[in-house]
Amino acid sequence: MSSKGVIGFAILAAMLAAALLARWIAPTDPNEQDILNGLAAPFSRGETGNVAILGTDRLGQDVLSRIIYGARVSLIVAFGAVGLSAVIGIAAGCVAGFMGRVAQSLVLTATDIVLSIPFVLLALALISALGAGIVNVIVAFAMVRWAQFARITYALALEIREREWFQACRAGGIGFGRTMLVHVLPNMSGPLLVVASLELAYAILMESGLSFLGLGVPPEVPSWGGMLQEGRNEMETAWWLTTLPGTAIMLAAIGFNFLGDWLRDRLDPGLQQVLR
Amino acid sequence: MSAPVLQVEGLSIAVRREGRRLVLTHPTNFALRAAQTTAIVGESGCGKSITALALLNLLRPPLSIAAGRILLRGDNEVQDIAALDPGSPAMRDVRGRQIAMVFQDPMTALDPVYPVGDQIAEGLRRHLNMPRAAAIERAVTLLRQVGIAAPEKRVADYPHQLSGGMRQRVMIAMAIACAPRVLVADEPTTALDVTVQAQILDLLRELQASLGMACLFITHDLGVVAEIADDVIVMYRGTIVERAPVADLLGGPRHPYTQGLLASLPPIDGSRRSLRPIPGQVRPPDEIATGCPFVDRCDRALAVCASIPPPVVALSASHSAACHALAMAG
Repeated sequence: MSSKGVIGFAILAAMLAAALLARWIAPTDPNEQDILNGLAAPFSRGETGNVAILGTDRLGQDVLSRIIYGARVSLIVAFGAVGLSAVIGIAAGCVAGFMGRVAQSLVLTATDIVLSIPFVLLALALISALGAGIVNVIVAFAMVRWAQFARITYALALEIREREWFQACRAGGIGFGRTMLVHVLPNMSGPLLVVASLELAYAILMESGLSFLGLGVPPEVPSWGGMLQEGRNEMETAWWLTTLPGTAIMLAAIGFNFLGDWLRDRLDPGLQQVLR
Repeated sequence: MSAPVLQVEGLSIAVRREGRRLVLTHPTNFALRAAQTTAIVGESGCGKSITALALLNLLRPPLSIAAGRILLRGDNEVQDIAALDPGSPAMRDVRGRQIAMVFQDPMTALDPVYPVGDQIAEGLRRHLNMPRAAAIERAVTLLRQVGIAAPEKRVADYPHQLSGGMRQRVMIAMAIACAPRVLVADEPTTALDVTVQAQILDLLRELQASLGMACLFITHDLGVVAEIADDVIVMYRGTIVERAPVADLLGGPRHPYTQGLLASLPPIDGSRRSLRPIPGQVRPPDEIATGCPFVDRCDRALAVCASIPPPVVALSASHSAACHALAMAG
């Protein structure tokens, strides 16, 4: 496995562990306030004698614990949003690729329109209409990014429908639904996985951006974007409040990007010949 | 002679282009009989492959069946395939069950993500409602029947683990799995080595004899025709120009096009003569022909050939050709 792949998997594993095991590995409750020990620098011994490894914020909440719990929001939003956009986009792409001219132009026009809308503006509009919250962030993301999946799926469909095995399925009397689910989708899975991993990185960035604007999760739920927002006023005095969650966001995005690169290299049959 | 298993009557295929309908094959009649192989010969673009696809009602827009009937004779009923909706369950029950197809390129005709056994089993499960274990067991038997060594091991192999010849054997196993009445083979040996070609042709002939299938064999290779066919249909630009039993056609071709095809092959006996290619090339199908489709390349063209479609001349009970020159001579 390439070093990119190792790094990508390591970061994904660390995030998953943080999200799943937060209750046991976080030093304190993320919302436990310790006002007397507010704005403690990393590794400093506060007035009450507690050492906060990555410091505390104005309310004395432990930054490390909040970052660990924040991984939950990032992962839920990322997988939820990418999962939803993949389901919509793959279905739309297959409709465009296999169902005839009318469906094809409808779907392709829709992707053009959707991809030309600035994502943050659309998310702002949606969330002001629907209200802030994890589910609405996911919906907003899927409403735009399904188009990415739809385009890739459409391109793959054009290729697959000319393959002889696709014809052979039809000639064998295999129904359309079964052909799609059992034969076509698995043959598309490689490129789609690559797209999904890159979209995961994008979703994490978007979630942080929306939380920073106050459009994401409610303030009492620790999230990386929200931490940036809260720490932004103390940037000059308490660097750890913005730098550390910012680093977490960056690492997560890099991790998923590396994973995507590794998958792409790994699944590209031309490259594989060379690597072996 | 027994009643034909599949009878094609007045079949014509059209393509819709920019709102216009363009006829690609002119009303075609032929019949396939049990345990007989009929070969359709012709160069690229003459309508062989779309005729094969039409038999399974597999033409996709903009192609469609414009007219005609394709009658499939079952045990006690006759079904008109051309009248069925291409996407209907009734049509899907015919495909793979009554009429099966073998494709040209074995390298791409198998789904790369499943073991070959599952792909053979899929048809058995779909058409005969076999449970998976029984279907896989049957797949092993079928693989043995098509001459694959150690079939109980090969059944779990993926297509990329097999050679081209073996894959074509797997395709044939898939096609015969449900014991279809008709096997349509669209250039099944074109993509194979010559030695493998011969093996596959032998296999097809054996299977056909033992299973009693009617076989439609699409090819442009007259050597293959000589090997496998009982009857031959020669097509040119969507029209049948000559049909005859294989010995008559290869031994005494009558239509100028068939004669041209044979004259462009080197003789097998080693005698040396210069090959005579047919001059010119096939005109695109959107040039509407009023007379004989072959008129522009024919060395015996008469004045009448350009304006009036040639009549079909019966040269014997089983040999006929569509040609003005023959009509006048006869």
